[in-house]
Amino acid sequence: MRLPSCRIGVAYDCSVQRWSNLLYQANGRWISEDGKRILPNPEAAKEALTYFRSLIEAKLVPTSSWPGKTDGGPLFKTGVAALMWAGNWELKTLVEGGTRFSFGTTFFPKEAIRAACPGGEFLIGFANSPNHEDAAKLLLWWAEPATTKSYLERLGGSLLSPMKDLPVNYGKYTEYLKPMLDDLAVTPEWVAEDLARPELNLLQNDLLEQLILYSTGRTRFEETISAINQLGSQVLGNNRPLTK
Amino acid sequence: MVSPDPSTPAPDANPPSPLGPRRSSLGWLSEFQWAPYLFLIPTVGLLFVFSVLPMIYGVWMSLQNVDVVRGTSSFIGLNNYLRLFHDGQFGLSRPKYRLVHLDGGSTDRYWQYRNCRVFTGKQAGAANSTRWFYIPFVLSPVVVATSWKWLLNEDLGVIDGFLKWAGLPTIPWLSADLYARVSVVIASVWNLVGFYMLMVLAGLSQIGPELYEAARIEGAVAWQRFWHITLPMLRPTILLIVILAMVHATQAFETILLLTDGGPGSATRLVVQNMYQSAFGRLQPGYGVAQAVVLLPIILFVAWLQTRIFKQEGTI
Repeated sequence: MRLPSCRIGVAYDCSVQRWSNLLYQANGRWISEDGKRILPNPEAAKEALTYFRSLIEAKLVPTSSWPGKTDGGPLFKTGVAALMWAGNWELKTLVEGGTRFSFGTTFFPKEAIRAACPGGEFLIGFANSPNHEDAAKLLLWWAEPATTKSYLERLGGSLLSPMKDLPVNYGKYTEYLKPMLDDLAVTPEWVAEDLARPELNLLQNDLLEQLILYSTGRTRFEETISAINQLGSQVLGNNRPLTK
Repeated sequence: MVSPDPSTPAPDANPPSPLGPRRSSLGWLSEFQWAPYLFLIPTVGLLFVFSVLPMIYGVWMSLQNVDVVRGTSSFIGLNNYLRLFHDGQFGLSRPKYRLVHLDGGSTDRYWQYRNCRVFTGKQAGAANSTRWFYIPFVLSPVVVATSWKWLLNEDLGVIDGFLKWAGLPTIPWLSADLYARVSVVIASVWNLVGFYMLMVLAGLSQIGPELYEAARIEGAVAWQRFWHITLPMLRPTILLIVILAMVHATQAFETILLLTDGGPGSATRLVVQNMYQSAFGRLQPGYGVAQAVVLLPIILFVAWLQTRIFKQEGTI
Protein backbone atom coordinates (compact mmCIF):
# COMPACT_ATOMS: atom_id res chain seq x y z
CA MET A 1 0.00 0.00 0.00
CA ARG A 2 1.33 3.42 -0.94
CA LEU A 3 1.75 5.80 1.97
CA PRO A 4 0.16 9.23 1.71
CA SER A 5 2.57 12.10 1.41
CA CYS A 6 3.56 13.83 4.64
CA ARG A 7 1.51 16.92 5.06
CA ILE A 8 2.10 17.59 8.74
CA GLY A 9 5.31 18.64 10.43
CA VAL A 10 4.99 17.41 13.99
CA ALA A 11 2.24 15.34 15.57
CA TYR A 12 2.52 16.81 19.05
CA ASP A 13 0.63 15.19 21.93
CA CYS A 14 -1.80 17.64 23.49
CA SER A 15 -0.83 17.28 27.14
CA VAL A 16 0.76 19.33 29.88
CA GLN A 17 3.58 16.81 30.17
CA ARG A 18 4.52 17.11 26.51
CA TRP A 19 4.55 20.91 26.59
CA SER A 20 6.55 20.76 29.84
CA ASN A 21 9.50 19.52 27.75
CA LEU A 22 9.82 23.00 26.33
CA LEU A 23 9.48 24.64 29.73
CA TYR A 24 12.19 22.49 31.29
CA GLN A 25 14.55 22.97 28.37
CA ALA A 26 14.11 26.72 28.79
CA ASN A 27 15.27 26.11 32.39
CA GLY A 28 11.82 26.81 33.78
CA ARG A 29 9.71 24.81 36.20
CA TRP A 30 6.06 24.57 37.07
CA ILE A 31 6.25 24.98 40.82
CA SER A 32 8.95 26.70 42.84
CA GLU A 33 11.23 24.62 45.02
CA ASP A 34 9.46 25.78 48.20
CA GLY A 35 6.12 24.77 46.66
CA LYS A 36 4.57 28.22 47.04
CA ARG A 37 4.65 29.73 43.55
CA ILE A 38 3.63 28.57 40.13
CA LEU A 39 5.85 29.29 37.09
CA PRO A 40 8.54 30.95 39.22
CA ASN A 41 10.57 31.75 36.11
CA PRO A 42 8.17 33.66 33.82
CA GLU A 43 10.91 34.34 31.26
CA ALA A 44 11.36 30.61 30.66
CA ALA A 45 7.58 30.22 30.45
CA LYS A 46 7.40 33.02 27.91
CA GLU A 47 10.12 31.45 25.81
CA ALA A 48 8.45 28.04 25.82
CA LEU A 49 4.99 29.46 25.14
CA THR A 50 6.18 31.71 22.34
CA TYR A 51 8.16 28.94 20.66
CA PHE A 52 5.25 26.55 20.79
CA ARG A 53 2.81 29.13 19.49
CA SER A 54 5.16 29.77 16.57
CA LEU A 55 5.04 26.05 15.70
CA ILE A 56 1.25 26.17 15.57
CA GLU A 57 1.11 29.46 13.69
CA ALA A 58 3.53 28.06 11.11
CA LYS A 59 1.19 25.02 10.87
CA LEU A 60 4.06 22.69 11.73
CA VAL A 61 1.93 21.35 14.55
CA PRO A 62 -1.54 20.64 13.10
CA THR A 63 -4.64 21.82 14.91
CA SER A 64 -5.90 18.24 14.88
CA SER A 65 -3.04 17.48 17.29
CA TRP A 66 -3.16 20.67 19.29
CA PRO A 67 -5.84 21.52 20.37
CA GLY A 68 -7.65 18.68 18.55
CA LYS A 69 -6.09 16.08 20.90
CA THR A 70 -5.65 13.50 18.16
CA ASP A 71 -3.21 10.86 19.31
CA GLY A 72 0.09 11.45 17.54
CA GLY A 73 0.64 7.70 17.05
CA PRO A 74 -1.86 7.16 14.18
CA LEU A 75 -0.82 10.42 12.48
CA PHE A 76 2.81 9.31 12.39
CA LYS A 77 2.13 5.66 11.70
CA THR A 78 0.01 6.43 8.66
CA GLY A 79 2.78 8.59 7.26
CA VAL A 80 0.71 11.78 7.46
CA ALA A 81 3.08 13.38 9.99
CA ALA A 82 6.82 13.63 9.42
CA LEU A 83 7.68 13.74 13.12
CA MET A 84 6.04 12.70 16.32
CA TRP A 85 6.77 14.38 19.64
CA ALA A 86 5.63 11.82 22.15
CA GLY A 87 6.62 9.64 25.06
CA ASN A 88 8.82 6.58 24.61
CA TRP A 89 5.89 4.22 25.31
CA GLU A 90 4.66 5.00 21.80
CA LEU A 91 7.61 2.98 20.49
CA LYS A 92 5.97 -0.32 21.34
CA THR A 93 3.00 0.43 19.09
CA LEU A 94 5.20 1.66 16.28
CA VAL A 95 7.73 -1.16 16.36
CA GLU A 96 5.40 -4.06 17.13
CA GLY A 97 2.52 -2.68 15.11
CA GLY A 98 4.61 -2.97 11.97
CA THR A 99 5.13 0.59 10.73
CA ARG A 100 5.49 0.39 6.97
CA PHE A 101 8.55 2.64 6.77
CA SER A 102 11.84 2.86 8.61
CA PHE A 103 12.13 5.53 11.27
CA GLY A 104 14.48 6.64 13.99
CA THR A 105 14.50 8.63 17.18
CA THR A 106 16.42 11.75 18.05
CA PHE A 107 17.22 14.08 20.94
CA PHE A 108 14.94 16.83 22.09
CA PRO A 109 16.07 20.19 20.78
CA LYS A 110 18.33 21.70 23.43
CA GLU A 111 17.65 25.18 24.67
CA ALA A 112 19.06 26.52 27.96
CA ILE A 113 19.49 23.00 29.30
CA ARG A 114 18.89 19.44 28.11
CA ALA A 115 15.92 17.85 29.84
CA ALA A 116 13.57 14.98 29.18
CA CYS A 117 10.19 14.72 30.82
CA PRO A 118 10.48 11.85 33.28
CA GLY A 119 7.01 10.45 33.87
CA GLY A 120 6.40 6.80 34.46
CA GLU A 121 4.57 4.71 36.97
CA PHE A 122 4.33 5.39 40.68
CA LEU A 123 3.91 3.18 43.69
CA ILE A 124 2.56 5.03 46.69
CA GLY A 125 2.16 3.95 50.29
CA PHE A 126 -0.10 5.94 52.60
CA ALA A 127 1.30 7.04 55.94
CA ASN A 128 -1.78 6.12 57.96
CA SER A 129 -2.50 2.87 56.18
CA PRO A 130 -3.05 -0.14 58.48
CA ASN A 131 -0.60 -1.98 56.19
CA HIS A 132 2.05 0.70 56.47
CA GLU A 133 4.91 -1.71 57.23
CA ASP A 134 4.01 -4.11 54.44
CA ALA A 135 3.67 -1.21 51.99
CA ALA A 136 7.14 0.01 52.99
CA LYS A 137 8.59 -3.48 52.41
CA LEU A 138 6.95 -3.64 48.98
CA LEU A 139 8.33 -0.22 48.05
CA LEU A 140 11.83 -1.21 49.13
CA TRP A 141 11.61 -4.45 47.16
CA TRP A 142 10.38 -2.56 44.13
CA ALA A 143 13.25 -0.08 44.40
CA GLU A 144 15.87 -2.86 44.33
CA PRO A 145 17.90 -2.66 41.09
CA ALA A 146 17.31 -6.35 40.29
CA THR A 147 13.51 -5.94 40.51
CA THR A 148 13.55 -2.79 38.39
CA LYS A 149 15.82 -4.43 35.80
CA SER A 150 13.65 -7.52 35.53
CA TYR A 151 10.45 -5.45 35.26
CA LEU A 152 11.82 -3.11 32.60
CA GLU A 153 13.25 -5.93 30.50
CA ARG A 154 9.94 -7.74 30.56
CA LEU A 155 8.11 -4.56 29.50
CA GLY A 156 10.39 -3.99 26.53
CA GLY A 157 10.77 -0.33 25.67
CA SER A 158 7.71 1.06 27.40
CA LEU A 159 9.57 2.45 30.39
CA LEU A 160 13.10 3.68 30.92
CA SER A 161 15.18 2.99 33.97
CA PRO A 162 15.22 5.78 36.55
CA MET A 163 18.55 4.37 37.86
CA LYS A 164 21.46 5.88 35.99
CA ASP A 165 23.94 3.06 36.53
CA LEU A 166 21.57 0.17 36.01
CA PRO A 167 22.33 -1.77 32.82
CA VAL A 168 19.04 -2.83 31.25
CA ASN A 169 18.72 -4.88 28.09
CA TYR A 170 15.97 -3.22 26.06
CA GLY A 171 16.35 -5.76 23.24
CA LYS A 172 15.08 -4.54 19.88
CA TYR A 173 14.29 -1.13 21.37
CA THR A 174 17.90 -0.41 22.37
CA GLU A 175 18.75 1.64 19.31
CA TYR A 176 15.53 3.65 19.45
CA LEU A 177 15.89 4.34 23.15
CA LYS A 178 19.49 5.52 23.09
CA PRO A 179 18.80 9.24 22.47
CA MET A 180 16.03 9.14 25.08
CA LEU A 181 18.27 7.48 27.66
CA ASP A 182 20.96 10.06 26.93
CA ASP A 183 18.44 12.88 27.41
CA LEU A 184 17.23 11.28 30.63
CA ALA A 185 20.78 10.83 31.93
CA VAL A 186 21.46 14.58 31.76
CA THR A 187 18.03 15.66 32.99
CA PRO A 188 18.37 17.44 36.36
CA GLU A 189 16.69 15.74 39.32
CA TRP A 190 14.52 18.76 40.03
CA VAL A 191 12.71 18.18 36.74
CA ALA A 192 11.42 14.80 37.94
CA GLU A 193 10.52 16.27 41.33
CA ASP A 194 8.66 19.16 39.71
CA LEU A 195 6.70 16.94 37.35
CA ALA A 196 5.77 14.53 40.14
CA ARG A 197 4.20 17.21 42.34
CA PRO A 198 0.59 16.30 43.15
CA GLU A 199 -0.47 19.94 42.72
CA LEU A 200 0.54 19.80 39.08
CA ASN A 201 -1.58 16.72 38.62
CA LEU A 202 -4.56 18.46 40.19
CA LEU A 203 -4.19 21.44 37.89
CA GLN A 204 -3.29 19.69 34.67
CA ASN A 205 -6.63 20.04 32.91
CA ASP A 206 -6.86 23.73 33.77
CA LEU A 207 -3.26 24.30 32.75
CA LEU A 208 -3.80 22.48 29.48
CA GLU A 209 -6.75 24.73 28.77
CA GLN A 210 -4.59 27.81 29.32
CA LEU A 211 -1.84 26.40 27.10
CA ILE A 212 -4.39 25.72 24.37
CA LEU A 213 -5.87 29.21 24.64
CA TYR A 214 -2.46 30.82 24.32
CA SER A 215 -0.94 28.57 21.70
CA THR A 216 -3.95 28.95 19.41
CA GLY A 217 -3.89 32.72 19.73
CA ARG A 218 -7.02 33.09 21.83
CA THR A 219 -5.27 34.83 24.73
CA ARG A 220 -2.25 37.05 25.26
CA PHE A 221 0.80 36.04 27.25
CA GLU A 222 -0.07 38.29 30.21
CA GLU A 223 -3.58 36.86 30.39
CA THR A 224 -2.24 33.32 30.31
CA ILE A 225 0.29 33.94 33.05
CA SER A 226 -2.31 35.72 35.16
CA ALA A 227 -4.79 32.86 34.76
CA ILE A 228 -2.13 30.27 35.60
CA ASN A 229 -1.07 32.29 38.66
CA GLN A 230 -4.68 32.40 39.79
CA LEU A 231 -5.01 28.64 39.36
CA GLY A 232 -1.76 28.13 41.21
CA SER A 233 -2.79 30.32 44.11
CA GLN A 234 -5.94 28.22 44.61
CA VAL A 235 -3.93 25.06 45.05
CA LEU A 236 -0.66 26.33 46.47
CA GLY A 237 -2.15 29.02 48.73
CA ASN A 238 -2.62 26.76 51.71
CA ASN A 239 0.11 24.35 50.70
CA ARG A 240 1.11 21.94 53.40
CA PRO A 241 3.74 19.25 53.07
CA LEU A 242 2.37 15.75 52.65
CA THR A 243 3.03 13.42 55.56
CA LYS A 244 6.08 11.32 54.81
CA MET B 1 -73.36 25.49 94.51
CA VAL B 2 -75.73 22.72 93.32
CA SER B 3 -75.84 19.42 95.20
CA PRO B 4 -76.51 16.22 93.27
CA ASP B 5 -80.03 14.77 93.40
CA PRO B 6 -79.93 11.55 95.50
CA SER B 7 -82.87 10.10 93.47
CA THR B 8 -80.86 10.36 90.19
CA PRO B 9 -78.77 7.23 89.59
CA ALA B 10 -75.00 7.86 89.55
CA PRO B 11 -73.50 7.83 86.03
CA ASP B 12 -71.73 4.61 85.05
CA ALA B 13 -68.00 4.96 85.44
CA ASN B 14 -67.44 2.91 82.23
CA PRO B 15 -70.35 3.59 79.85
CA PRO B 16 -70.65 1.17 76.86
CA SER B 17 -69.16 2.62 73.66
CA PRO B 18 -71.60 3.21 70.79
CA LEU B 19 -68.96 1.54 68.54
CA GLY B 20 -69.06 -1.67 70.54
CA PRO B 21 -66.59 -3.04 73.05
CA ARG B 22 -63.51 -0.82 73.55
CA ARG B 23 -60.26 -2.07 72.04
CA SER B 24 -56.83 -1.86 73.66
CA SER B 25 -54.68 1.15 72.57
CA LEU B 26 -52.45 -1.06 70.32
CA GLY B 27 -55.31 -2.99 68.78
CA TRP B 28 -55.05 -1.09 65.49
CA LEU B 29 -51.65 -2.65 64.94
CA SER B 30 -53.17 -6.09 64.50
CA GLU B 31 -55.82 -4.79 62.11
CA PHE B 32 -53.53 -2.55 60.01
CA GLN B 33 -52.96 -3.65 56.42
CA TRP B 34 -49.19 -4.28 56.59
CA ALA B 35 -48.78 -6.33 53.44
CA PRO B 36 -48.52 -3.48 50.87
CA TYR B 37 -45.99 -1.63 52.99
CA LEU B 38 -43.90 -4.73 53.55
CA PHE B 39 -43.75 -5.29 49.81
CA LEU B 40 -42.55 -1.72 49.35
CA ILE B 41 -39.73 -2.00 51.88
CA PRO B 42 -37.07 -3.48 49.53
CA THR B 43 -37.66 -0.86 46.82
CA VAL B 44 -37.94 2.07 49.20
CA GLY B 45 -34.93 0.78 51.14
CA LEU B 46 -32.77 0.57 48.02
CA LEU B 47 -33.98 3.98 46.90
CA PHE B 48 -33.13 5.41 50.29
CA VAL B 49 -29.68 3.83 50.44
CA PHE B 50 -28.63 4.54 46.85
CA SER B 51 -30.46 7.80 46.12
CA VAL B 52 -31.65 9.66 49.21
CA LEU B 53 -28.63 9.01 51.45
CA PRO B 54 -26.08 9.98 48.75
CA MET B 55 -28.11 13.14 48.11
CA ILE B 56 -28.05 14.08 51.78
CA TYR B 57 -24.37 13.19 51.96
CA GLY B 58 -23.77 15.27 48.83
CA VAL B 59 -25.39 18.35 50.34
CA TRP B 60 -23.29 17.88 53.47
CA MET B 61 -20.18 17.43 51.32
CA SER B 62 -20.92 20.65 49.44
CA LEU B 63 -20.50 22.48 52.74
CA GLN B 64 -17.07 20.97 53.32
CA ASN B 65 -13.59 21.50 51.97
CA VAL B 66 -12.65 17.90 51.29
CA ASP B 67 -8.98 17.11 50.88
CA VAL B 68 -8.98 13.78 49.09
CA VAL B 69 -5.21 13.35 49.16
CA ARG B 70 -4.89 13.85 52.90
CA GLY B 71 -8.25 12.30 53.76
CA THR B 72 -9.42 15.34 55.74
CA SER B 73 -12.37 17.71 55.50
CA SER B 74 -13.34 20.94 57.17
CA PHE B 75 -16.67 22.78 57.36
CA ILE B 76 -16.66 25.91 55.19
CA GLY B 77 -20.36 26.76 55.17
CA LEU B 78 -21.59 28.23 51.90
CA ASN B 79 -18.14 29.05 50.53
CA ASN B 80 -18.40 26.50 47.71
CA TYR B 81 -21.66 28.12 46.58
CA LEU B 82 -20.25 31.63 46.86
CA ARG B 83 -17.29 30.48 44.77
CA LEU B 84 -19.67 29.56 41.95
CA PHE B 85 -20.48 33.24 41.48
CA HIS B 86 -16.84 33.95 40.69
CA ASP B 87 -16.17 30.84 38.64
CA GLY B 88 -15.79 31.85 35.02
CA GLN B 89 -16.08 28.24 33.88
CA PHE B 90 -19.40 27.70 35.61
CA GLY B 91 -20.69 31.07 34.48
CA LEU B 92 -19.56 30.48 30.93
CA SER B 93 -20.95 27.01 30.77
CA ARG B 94 -24.56 28.09 31.28
CA PRO B 95 -25.06 30.13 28.10
CA LYS B 96 -23.17 27.44 26.16
CA TYR B 97 -25.67 24.94 27.51
CA ARG B 98 -28.37 26.74 25.67
CA LEU B 99 -26.28 27.21 22.55
CA VAL B 100 -25.14 23.63 22.21
CA HIS B 101 -28.10 21.70 23.44
CA LEU B 102 -31.04 23.74 22.51
CA ASP B 103 -29.54 23.99 19.04
CA GLY B 104 -29.20 20.23 19.18
CA GLY B 105 -32.77 19.89 20.40
CA SER B 106 -34.27 22.02 17.64
CA THR B 107 -32.13 20.31 14.99
CA ASP B 108 -33.28 16.99 16.43
CA ARG B 109 -36.91 17.94 16.16
CA TYR B 110 -36.55 19.19 12.59
CA TRP B 111 -34.95 15.93 11.45
CA GLN B 112 -37.40 13.83 13.40
CA TYR B 113 -40.23 15.52 11.59
CA ARG B 114 -38.56 15.29 8.16
CA ASN B 115 -37.80 11.63 8.68
CA CYS B 116 -41.25 10.88 9.98
CA ARG B 117 -42.90 12.49 6.99
CA VAL B 118 -40.87 10.14 4.84
CA PHE B 119 -41.59 7.09 6.92
CA THR B 120 -45.31 7.67 7.26
CA GLY B 121 -45.45 7.81 3.48
CA LYS B 122 -45.84 4.74 1.35
CA GLN B 123 -42.26 4.58 0.14
CA ALA B 124 -40.89 1.10 -0.26
CA GLY B 125 -38.60 0.01 2.55
CA ALA B 126 -39.85 2.72 4.89
CA ALA B 127 -40.11 0.29 7.81
CA ASN B 128 -36.57 -0.94 7.30
CA SER B 129 -35.31 2.63 7.13
CA THR B 130 -36.95 3.39 10.48
CA ARG B 131 -34.91 0.57 11.98
CA TRP B 132 -31.67 2.00 10.56
CA PHE B 133 -32.43 5.40 12.04
CA TYR B 134 -32.99 3.83 15.45
CA ILE B 135 -29.65 1.98 15.50
CA PRO B 136 -27.51 4.98 16.62
CA PHE B 137 -29.69 5.31 19.73
CA VAL B 138 -28.84 1.80 20.92
CA LEU B 139 -25.11 2.41 20.45
CA SER B 140 -23.04 3.26 23.49
CA PRO B 141 -22.12 6.97 23.72
CA VAL B 142 -18.47 5.85 23.73
CA VAL B 143 -18.92 4.24 20.31
CA VAL B 144 -20.81 7.28 19.01
CA ALA B 145 -18.18 9.75 20.21
CA THR B 146 -15.21 7.69 19.04
CA SER B 147 -16.74 7.14 15.60
CA TRP B 148 -17.49 10.82 15.13
CA LYS B 149 -14.09 11.79 16.45
CA TRP B 150 -12.45 9.84 13.64
CA LEU B 151 -14.94 10.95 11.04
CA LEU B 152 -14.38 14.59 11.93
CA ASN B 153 -10.62 14.39 12.35
CA GLU B 154 -8.97 17.08 10.27
CA ASP B 155 -6.05 15.04 9.07
CA LEU B 156 -7.31 11.47 8.92
CA GLY B 157 -11.09 11.90 8.92
CA VAL B 158 -13.41 10.84 6.10
CA ILE B 159 -15.34 14.10 5.96
CA ASP B 160 -12.34 16.39 5.60
CA GLY B 161 -10.74 13.78 3.36
CA PHE B 162 -13.72 14.07 1.03
CA LEU B 163 -13.51 17.88 1.11
CA LYS B 164 -9.81 17.69 0.20
CA TRP B 165 -10.58 15.26 -2.63
CA ALA B 166 -13.22 17.67 -3.92
CA GLY B 167 -10.74 20.52 -3.80
CA LEU B 168 -12.63 22.31 -1.03
CA PRO B 169 -11.12 23.85 2.09
CA THR B 170 -11.13 21.54 5.11
CA ILE B 171 -13.08 22.37 8.24
CA PRO B 172 -11.47 22.36 11.69
CA TRP B 173 -14.35 20.38 13.17
CA LEU B 174 -12.85 19.75 16.57
CA SER B 175 -10.31 22.52 16.94
CA ALA B 176 -12.29 25.72 16.29
CA ASP B 177 -14.83 26.88 18.88
CA LEU B 178 -17.83 27.20 16.59
CA TYR B 179 -17.20 24.01 14.62
CA ALA B 180 -16.53 22.05 17.81
CA ARG B 181 -19.98 23.08 19.07
CA VAL B 182 -21.49 22.15 15.72
CA SER B 183 -19.72 18.77 15.89
CA VAL B 184 -21.17 18.10 19.33
CA VAL B 185 -24.64 18.96 18.00
CA ILE B 186 -24.17 16.71 14.95
CA ALA B 187 -23.03 13.73 17.05
CA SER B 188 -25.84 14.25 19.60
CA VAL B 189 -28.51 14.61 16.93
CA TRP B 190 -27.28 11.52 15.09
CA ASN B 191 -27.34 9.62 18.36
CA LEU B 192 -30.83 10.65 19.49
CA VAL B 193 -32.81 11.42 16.37
CA GLY B 194 -34.02 7.84 15.96
CA PHE B 195 -35.50 7.69 19.44
CA TYR B 196 -37.36 10.97 19.15
CA MET B 197 -38.35 10.10 15.60
CA LEU B 198 -40.23 7.04 16.83
CA MET B 199 -42.17 9.27 19.21
CA VAL B 200 -43.08 11.67 16.43
CA LEU B 201 -43.97 8.71 14.24
CA ALA B 202 -46.35 7.46 16.92
CA GLY B 203 -47.83 10.96 17.17
CA LEU B 204 -48.31 11.20 13.40
CA SER B 205 -50.03 7.84 13.26
CA GLN B 206 -52.65 9.17 15.70
CA ILE B 207 -53.72 11.93 13.30
CA GLY B 208 -56.75 10.74 11.37
CA PRO B 209 -56.46 10.82 7.57
CA GLU B 210 -59.99 12.27 7.41
CA LEU B 211 -58.64 15.56 8.78
CA TYR B 212 -56.23 15.87 5.88
CA GLU B 213 -58.90 14.78 3.46
CA ALA B 214 -61.30 17.43 4.75
CA ALA B 215 -58.58 20.05 4.55
CA ARG B 216 -57.80 19.07 0.96
CA ILE B 217 -61.48 19.37 0.06
CA GLU B 218 -61.47 22.83 1.63
CA GLY B 219 -58.51 23.70 -0.59
CA ALA B 220 -55.73 23.73 2.05
CA VAL B 221 -52.26 23.50 0.55
CA ALA B 222 -49.44 21.43 2.07
CA TRP B 223 -48.07 24.07 4.44
CA GLN B 224 -51.57 24.95 5.66
CA ARG B 225 -52.28 21.29 6.38
CA PHE B 226 -49.00 21.13 8.29
CA TRP B 227 -49.62 24.38 10.20
CA HIS B 228 -53.28 23.83 11.06
CA ILE B 229 -53.45 20.05 11.44
CA THR B 230 -50.12 18.29 11.87
CA LEU B 231 -48.44 20.75 14.20
CA PRO B 232 -51.38 21.23 16.63
CA MET B 233 -52.01 17.48 16.73
CA LEU B 234 -48.34 16.79 17.41
CA ARG B 235 -48.11 19.40 20.12
CA PRO B 236 -48.17 17.00 23.13
CA THR B 237 -45.52 14.81 21.49
CA ILE B 238 -43.32 17.79 20.67
CA LEU B 239 -43.67 19.07 24.23
CA LEU B 240 -42.62 15.71 25.60
CA ILE B 241 -39.63 15.65 23.27
CA VAL B 242 -38.64 19.18 24.30
CA ILE B 243 -38.69 18.18 27.95
CA LEU B 244 -36.80 14.94 27.31
CA ALA B 245 -34.22 16.82 25.23
CA MET B 246 -33.76 19.34 28.02
CA VAL B 247 -33.32 16.59 30.59
CA HIS B 248 -30.84 14.94 28.25
CA ALA B 249 -29.00 18.24 27.92
CA THR B 250 -28.52 18.43 31.68
CA GLN B 251 -27.01 14.94 31.60
CA ALA B 252 -24.86 15.33 28.46
CA PHE B 253 -21.45 14.03 29.39
CA GLU B 254 -19.87 11.02 27.69
CA THR B 255 -20.20 12.15 24.08
CA ILE B 256 -18.70 15.57 24.76
CA LEU B 257 -15.99 14.20 27.03
CA LEU B 258 -14.79 11.78 24.37
CA LEU B 259 -15.39 13.94 21.33
CA THR B 260 -13.90 17.26 22.41
CA ASP B 261 -13.06 16.84 26.11
CA GLY B 262 -14.85 20.16 26.60
CA GLY B 263 -12.45 21.86 24.20
CA PRO B 264 -10.95 23.52 22.38
CA GLY B 265 -10.17 25.46 25.53
CA SER B 266 -13.54 25.34 27.22
CA ALA B 267 -15.72 25.93 24.15
CA THR B 268 -17.85 22.82 24.61
CA ARG B 269 -17.55 22.39 28.35
CA LEU B 270 -20.99 22.13 29.92
CA VAL B 271 -22.11 22.05 33.53
CA VAL B 272 -21.68 18.31 33.99
CA GLN B 273 -18.13 18.39 32.56
CA ASN B 274 -17.38 21.22 34.93
CA MET B 275 -18.66 19.16 37.86
CA TYR B 276 -16.62 16.16 36.77
CA GLN B 277 -13.53 18.29 36.33
CA SER B 278 -13.93 19.88 39.77
CA ALA B 279 -14.63 16.62 41.57
CA PHE B 280 -12.24 14.23 39.81
CA GLY B 281 -9.73 16.45 37.98
CA ARG B 282 -8.98 19.02 40.67
CA LEU B 283 -10.06 16.61 43.44
CA GLN B 284 -12.50 19.12 44.95
CA PRO B 285 -15.58 16.93 45.47
CA GLY B 286 -17.26 19.50 47.72
CA TYR B 287 -17.17 22.12 44.99
CA GLY B 288 -18.29 19.60 42.37
CA VAL B 289 -21.30 18.61 44.48
CA ALA B 290 -22.15 22.28 45.11
CA GLN B 291 -22.55 22.69 41.34
CA ALA B 292 -24.82 19.65 41.27
CA VAL B 293 -26.90 21.09 44.09
CA VAL B 294 -27.28 24.35 42.14
CA LEU B 295 -28.30 22.36 39.06
CA LEU B 296 -30.96 20.46 41.00
CA PRO B 297 -33.54 23.30 41.24
CA ILE B 298 -33.09 23.97 37.53
CA ILE B 299 -33.96 20.35 36.71
CA LEU B 300 -36.83 20.45 39.20
CA PHE B 301 -38.11 23.59 37.50
CA VAL B 302 -38.02 21.83 34.12
CA ALA B 303 -39.92 18.88 35.62
CA TRP B 304 -42.48 21.23 37.17
CA LEU B 305 -42.87 23.07 33.88
CA GLN B 306 -43.41 19.75 32.13
CA THR B 307 -46.18 18.76 34.54
CA ARG B 308 -47.82 22.16 34.30
CA ILE B 309 -47.78 22.22 30.49
CA PHE B 310 -49.10 18.67 30.25
CA LYS B 311 -51.89 19.51 32.68
CA GLN B 312 -52.84 22.51 30.58
CA GLU B 313 -52.74 20.35 27.48
CA GLY B 314 -54.87 17.75 29.21
CA THR B 315 -52.26 15.10 28.47
CA ILE B 316 -52.16 14.06 32.14
